[in-house]
Amino acid sequence: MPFPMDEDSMTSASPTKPATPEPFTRSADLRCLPLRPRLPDGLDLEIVVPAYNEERRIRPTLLALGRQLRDMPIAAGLRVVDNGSCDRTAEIVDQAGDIGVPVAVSGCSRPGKGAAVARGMVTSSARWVGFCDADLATDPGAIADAVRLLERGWQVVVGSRRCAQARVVARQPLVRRLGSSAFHRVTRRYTGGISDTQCGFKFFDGLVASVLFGGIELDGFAFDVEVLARAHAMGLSMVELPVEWRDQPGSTFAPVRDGVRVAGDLWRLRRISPAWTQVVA
Amino acid sequence: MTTTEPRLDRHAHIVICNWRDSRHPQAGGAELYCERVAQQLRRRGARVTLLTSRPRGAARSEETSSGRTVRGGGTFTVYLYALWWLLWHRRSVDAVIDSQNGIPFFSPLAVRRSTPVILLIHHVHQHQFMLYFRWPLNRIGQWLEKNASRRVYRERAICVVSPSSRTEVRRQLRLRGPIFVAACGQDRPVGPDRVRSERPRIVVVGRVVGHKRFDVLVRAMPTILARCRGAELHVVGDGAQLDELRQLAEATGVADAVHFHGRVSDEARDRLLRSAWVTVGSSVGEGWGLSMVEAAAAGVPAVGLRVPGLRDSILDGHTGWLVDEVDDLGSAVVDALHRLTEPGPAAAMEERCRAWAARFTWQATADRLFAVLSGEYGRLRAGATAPARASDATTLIELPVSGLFGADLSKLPGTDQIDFGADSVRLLMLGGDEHDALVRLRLSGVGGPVTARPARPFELLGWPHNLLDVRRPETLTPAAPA
Repeated sequence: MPFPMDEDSMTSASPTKPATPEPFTRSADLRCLPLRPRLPDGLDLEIVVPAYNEERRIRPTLLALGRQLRDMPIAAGLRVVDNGSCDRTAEIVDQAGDIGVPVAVSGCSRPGKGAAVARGMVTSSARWVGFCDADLATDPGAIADAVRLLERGWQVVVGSRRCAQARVVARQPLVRRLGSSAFHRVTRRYTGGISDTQCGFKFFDGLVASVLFGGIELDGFAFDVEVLARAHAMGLSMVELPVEWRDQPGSTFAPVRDGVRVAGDLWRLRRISPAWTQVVA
Repeated sequence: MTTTEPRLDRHAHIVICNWRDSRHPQAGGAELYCERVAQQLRRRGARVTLLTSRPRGAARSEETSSGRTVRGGGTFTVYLYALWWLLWHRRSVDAVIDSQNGIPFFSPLAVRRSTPVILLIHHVHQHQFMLYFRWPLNRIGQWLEKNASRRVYRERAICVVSPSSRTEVRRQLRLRGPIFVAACGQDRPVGPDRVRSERPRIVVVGRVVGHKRFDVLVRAMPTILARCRGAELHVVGDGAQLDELRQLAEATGVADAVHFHGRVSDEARDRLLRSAWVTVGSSVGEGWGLSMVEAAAAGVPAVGLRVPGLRDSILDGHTGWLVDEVDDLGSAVVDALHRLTEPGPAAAMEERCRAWAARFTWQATADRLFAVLSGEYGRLRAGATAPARASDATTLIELPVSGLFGADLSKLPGTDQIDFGADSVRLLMLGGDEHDALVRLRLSGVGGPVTARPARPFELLGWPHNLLDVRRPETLTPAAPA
């Protein structure tokens, strides 16, 4: 025991104190079950997957993303950002086995999908970064298209369910669609004609992403709008990418509770949005 | 010693509420937990009162090894009695450990607002209420455990016995307070005196009741015997299902290979356990797999189902093996027995089992609860409002011991945990991610290289010390400036 304990606990506990447990180095193997290491440096593409209590859905998502990335001629990696899960999300990622590309887990204690994505974006060193939802509602085949667009110099590639050629295989419940449509109507004035802000499938130039996400204020589900609005205000080159989309059951979005939160976020957006235009101007 | 946050006096009067005490005819694991914690808290210097129900013939108040035991009320009225007692003695109560067995004591209603309270949850009972009670009692029980608890305990600290229980508390009860893991200790001596039997022997210890599902094991015996000649199963424990199991063993033609010992003395049980090759966890789920850790203390690995409690107490591939499906349990046992025939891997596993079990002491459990109480004391004293939702993010940090020289660990929360190695230190930081952890470490003066990553569920277990109990290490600075 390199450090003395409090005198208090020493005096009261030492006479009948049970054997001190082995320090972890001697039983090191107990605490070194195979864990995912950090992602290597110099990746071409890093995909951030925000996860909050996704122990049931994360594995198939990683496998599908791995299948897609493995066949692409670039060095890609996946990062699961654990948004304070209380379940086994991180452990399931460890146990997912070899999925063809490096996978890492990092944490984010600030609750909210926006906070988790932003954490992943600003801590990435890859040339291009993107994020997609843990339920993988978007067909991962679109990643190849997104990379092609980034290669051509687009700075922001926005997956869209609403633009021409997009295909929605399984639609969301009616309540969600109505909410989504109202949301779109309110937010389109910020984002400069982007037809679908809420599809969880967006890719960025690495440097651009760290700037865009560096000062993000909305932590919740409405963060996409803030990001796109900032990108629009900064005059970045944005392009919409039609995706194939399939609604997945088990969403963590609660229409009423999160809907109210989103409305609050939009109100905040209204107040903070003038600041960006001033900065850029 | 100056600390940045006020801490609970070690002589404080701590009241532990539990529906039964160990004298109760139906006492179980939760009662053992409360009693051992009480004994250890007393060793730390605290004054402990155990508040429980009063079975027929029991004294209203008596001094026991776990402190003063105060009894009153029956199975249901004990809750009212406890509230009344706490209200009446609120001035002398410094802290409360409110152990819920389905229904909590709602002690925050009776004690002062500045008195720290821990809600201790072994496992969530929402499902049990539906199984064992009829309408409307089942709904009332569920409502008390979930909705009423959420309103009464608010941001108060919650302690659970395993990472699985932590998940249940958040997911099913949706309680808001920060959740700390205070795993059960175990009493078995961690000894090297293991005499493994000649024939492959499976020993299971526990009450023979439905949810332990020993019948699964008996049914798997023909498969096990076919692939592992001479295997035998020993069931140690008594219970309602015993006769049924005997008949099942007869019916499946494995009566010769299955031995029912019933309830035996502790010595006989330990002797049997020490002769085992492997133990099996076939339960539908537990708060904590105590029998798995007790077997590990004897150096016996376990094969278990990947269910709450068992998946916490067995480290897959290290102190045993976990399987997903109950139908695969038999073949997993066979595989385990085959692996354990090789002396090298068997000895390595035995060693790991002992190291794992040695980490679970009642002293560590009591220290943990005291640290949480002390943290709550500080929080309530400082008038700090807890965040709307405590983050469950937990970060594991590793740094060289030299990084701590000159650091002021009292600036870190006393509930963070620490483990010392030969030349490095590990810290478990609660409620923060890697970024928060690094900021907190730098603010407390920790220097040098630090690695941080999210802790996995199994890493929440087996920590020997809380930062509360570790003094500032500045006296150890090699060259202290004059």
